[in-house]
Amino acid sequence: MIGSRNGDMGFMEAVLSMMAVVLALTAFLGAAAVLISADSGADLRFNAGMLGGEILDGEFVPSYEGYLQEYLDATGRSYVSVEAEIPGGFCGDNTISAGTDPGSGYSTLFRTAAIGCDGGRKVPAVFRVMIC
Amino acid sequence: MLKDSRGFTAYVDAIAFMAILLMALSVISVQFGTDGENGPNASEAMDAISAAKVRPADITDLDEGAVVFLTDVLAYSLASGDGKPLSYLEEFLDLHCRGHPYRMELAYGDASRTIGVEDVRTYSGAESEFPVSLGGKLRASLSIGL
Repeated sequence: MIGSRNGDMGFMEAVLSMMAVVLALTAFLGAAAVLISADSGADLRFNAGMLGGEILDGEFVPSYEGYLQEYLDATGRSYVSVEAEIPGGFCGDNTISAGTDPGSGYSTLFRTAAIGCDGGRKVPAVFRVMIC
Repeated sequence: MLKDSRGFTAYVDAIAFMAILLMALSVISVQFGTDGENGPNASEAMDAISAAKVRPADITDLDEGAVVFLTDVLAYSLASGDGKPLSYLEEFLDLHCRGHPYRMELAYGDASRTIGVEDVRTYSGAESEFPVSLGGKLRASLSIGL
């Protein structure tokens, strides 16, 4: 190919080319975002906001038992376990799980929140979630 | 201005493409991020402490059954020298920080106490002031390291 400077606009050409690239990629991004939001009806992440419960007569009663199985059904994961630890001797620790424990390959996340207790009290609790 | 305008065009195209592609990849990675550990959050611990309500009899030597904010009991602890509420707070922070070093500073009036290690390279930090029912404010500062 023989080089020719006819039609070469220099910096203007560069700016116009960049604008064309930006427009094309922005359109791609927008289409990808629409497709992703349409597909993800159920959030693939564990909703730590569902972790809670209350202490009744010295025993921790969790509020997320049903959510664990729903999470497994929605995401296709095989196992989820939640351990609730409440300091101060208000009650013992509590562990609930759903699915089949594979024995290894867990990812872990934590949540700390205040939970209800007898007599109008609210005490801090730490939840440890193990997912596989 | 570069002398070779053809090379400049390609350069600008490449830069713009890379920038937008990086934005697209970061958006996609946030949407499909994995469930995983992000490290203990100081604000989360501070929120739990500010919302907590206990009976003084639960965590002090007082035989008092009225339900009060935990921060009120901590202020009492600083003023009176009763170490039990601070032990309870330490037990909670040990659980929350799960092995990460932390430093919590509490101040109420002229009294102050520190829980945890002396020197922490802060990964997550939070500060709050809590009104105390008997007057004054409890100032709390939490630093959690990696």
